[in-house]
Amino acid sequence: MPVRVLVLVLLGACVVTRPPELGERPRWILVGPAAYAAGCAQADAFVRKSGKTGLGLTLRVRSIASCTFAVTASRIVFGRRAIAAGAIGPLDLPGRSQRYAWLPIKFDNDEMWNDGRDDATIELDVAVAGTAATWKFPVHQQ
Amino acid sequence: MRRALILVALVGCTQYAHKATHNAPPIVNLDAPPPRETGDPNAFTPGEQPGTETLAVFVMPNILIGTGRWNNGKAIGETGMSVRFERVVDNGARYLNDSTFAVTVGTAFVQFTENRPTVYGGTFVELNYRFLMGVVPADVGMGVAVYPGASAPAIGEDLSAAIGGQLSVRLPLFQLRARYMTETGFEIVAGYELPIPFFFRRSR
Repeated sequence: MPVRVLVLVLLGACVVTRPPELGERPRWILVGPAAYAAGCAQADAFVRKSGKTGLGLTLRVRSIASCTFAVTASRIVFGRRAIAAGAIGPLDLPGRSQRYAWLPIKFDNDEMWNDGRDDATIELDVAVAGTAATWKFPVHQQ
Repeated sequence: MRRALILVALVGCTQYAHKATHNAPPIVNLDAPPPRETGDPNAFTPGEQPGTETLAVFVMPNILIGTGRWNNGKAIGETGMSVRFERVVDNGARYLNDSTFAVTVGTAFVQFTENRPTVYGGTFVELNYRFLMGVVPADVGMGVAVYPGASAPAIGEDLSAAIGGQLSVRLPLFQLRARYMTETGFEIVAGYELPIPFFFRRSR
């Protein structure tokens, strides 16, 4: 096999374009801190995974008193296009406690990246102790 | 080993290779959370390399000699250029497959023989199959060729346009080609062909 490689080299082979190394590949990040507080709960979101099929969020939820926290619906919004994602069932938070929850936001990220749609907003419909609200935060892919 | 050899030997070219960002996001598994959650805001689980799609383009100038173009028993010569396209999809390690199909298009800029004016040669498109004979790459091709019409007032003759089929065999630095054309019948040429590869690689 090296013989064939050397033949190619001697003939002046040239790599014109190359794919990115792993560290050069794009990933979604939070534009700023994604913190939320309502009633008896406080929450933060972190982007833990990012790739071709979307991104994955860890939600850290803390209670200041016994509380429940749920994500009843979620979506990622690119301009006028909203792509629905999953939900997180009610988390029981007894007293002052902390829990983590995993929320995958699945979409065709190759399509978005190739189209240059690198800015989006994540919208979470949350229910804190039964009270509904929407938690929004911007994300960017770079 | 092979990839390292290529990268070392092609250092001049690879350093200037343009980064292709098409389909750049990595492979990621979103069905499971990271194995250990610490609450660190900066923690991130990297994805995996998605593999590579390579288009190998071979620019192949050639000089060929043979007979049969005008049925006069005399040798002919031609010089031209072919361009060959191959596609490789894999995990990123390979630049070429050991065996593969390819498409080649080519033309002869000049075709000449004794006592006749130099004319533009034929243009062809071929479907090829390349394989290894031991460690030597060999290639067979089959396709369609066209000769444009040409005026040759110096000998009081007009050359008609013609269409035909061709078969080719290629070894490194060598090409053998046979054609059957509607106006002039069989011809065969062989000679030197220099394949200069260019690799256009991007993410799958």
